[in-house]
Amino acid sequence: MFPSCSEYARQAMEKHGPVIGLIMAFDRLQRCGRDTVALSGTIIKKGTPLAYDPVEFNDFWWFEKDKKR
Amino acid sequence: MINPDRILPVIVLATVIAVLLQVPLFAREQLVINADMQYDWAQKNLDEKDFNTSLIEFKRFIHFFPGDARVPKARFQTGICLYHLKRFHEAAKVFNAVILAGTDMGLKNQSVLMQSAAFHRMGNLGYAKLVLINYSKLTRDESMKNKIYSALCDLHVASFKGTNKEELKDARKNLLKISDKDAKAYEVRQRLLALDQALASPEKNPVLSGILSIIPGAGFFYCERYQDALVAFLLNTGLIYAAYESFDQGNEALGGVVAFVETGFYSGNIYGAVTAAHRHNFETKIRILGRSFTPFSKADIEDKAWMIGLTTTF
Repeated sequence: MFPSCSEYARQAMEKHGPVIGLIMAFDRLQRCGRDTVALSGTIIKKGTPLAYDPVEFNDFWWFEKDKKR
Repeated sequence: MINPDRILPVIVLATVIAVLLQVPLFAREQLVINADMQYDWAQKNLDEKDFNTSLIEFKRFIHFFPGDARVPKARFQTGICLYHLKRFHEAAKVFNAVILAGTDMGLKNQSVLMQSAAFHRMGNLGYAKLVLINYSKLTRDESMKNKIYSALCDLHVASFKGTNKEELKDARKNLLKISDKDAKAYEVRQRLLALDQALASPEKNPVLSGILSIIPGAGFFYCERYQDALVAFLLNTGLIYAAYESFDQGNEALGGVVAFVETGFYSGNIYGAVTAAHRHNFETKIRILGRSFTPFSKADIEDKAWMIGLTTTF
């Protein structure tokens, strides 16, 4: 999956702080490589197709990035 | 006998005079570029999609022939070049200048639509809509109004982020404003049908999903994510049991560590189930809308790829 779970955790904690970021990281670890792969679109990174599951796809329902502009 | 000291100055003087008078020995063919040639050259480059060259040549045309009747069109074309070069902010400013000049209604109308498109490509959907809304109140041209309503419908659909269903309702309202004579051209019926189906599509309740997740995996199961549900159930019940056994056997340190990890996974299970409900609802609607709308600029593809199963390459 892209980004990798460790990178996802880093981005989530950077964006939302340690508490929410850690919760999102644990959520990602439970989901990694299962239904999310089938439901997500694919991106090609260095010739390898990967399921695309960034932080933005998992916080869109409560986090508005426009407020941060 | 010829004196070289007297001949040399004469030769030099003759050469200088010849150059100054452009004696045929040193004469060259001259090319005078007029306004038509300059404009045609700029347009040719635009037609061949050489936007960099076309931009420069149209600017050259405007500079050297400021009184030519085609200057407003040339200015508009520089905006087109900037748009295609992805310099959207500059393009928006150029189109704004053409709108304010307002000499040619056709150009003005095109500039309004292009300015809105430039703002959209910049990711500023608010301004993209505002430009169109303002102009719809100023123009009396029915066909232009219909174009604006259709574009606004697309922008509202593009603004839909999953929880703001008002955008879909606003898209619907704009579609209904399109006059009957252009209804077929803008596929009003099909798009209305897609919007109605999207708004009426069955939804998963995120609150219910979160409450069900008190039993690990139940929220995912409700959202039809059966693999995630199984993993969440096994992982969480396993860790809860491990923490219980650790404390029961007096191993507080291990019990504490396991409990801490389990707290993370349990919270993640609840958060994931709520997110899964939202994603289910959003995905369902986008799949329905994707059949009748192409509101996504390339700039949106990264955002929407997962919704409509596209493959993107970075």
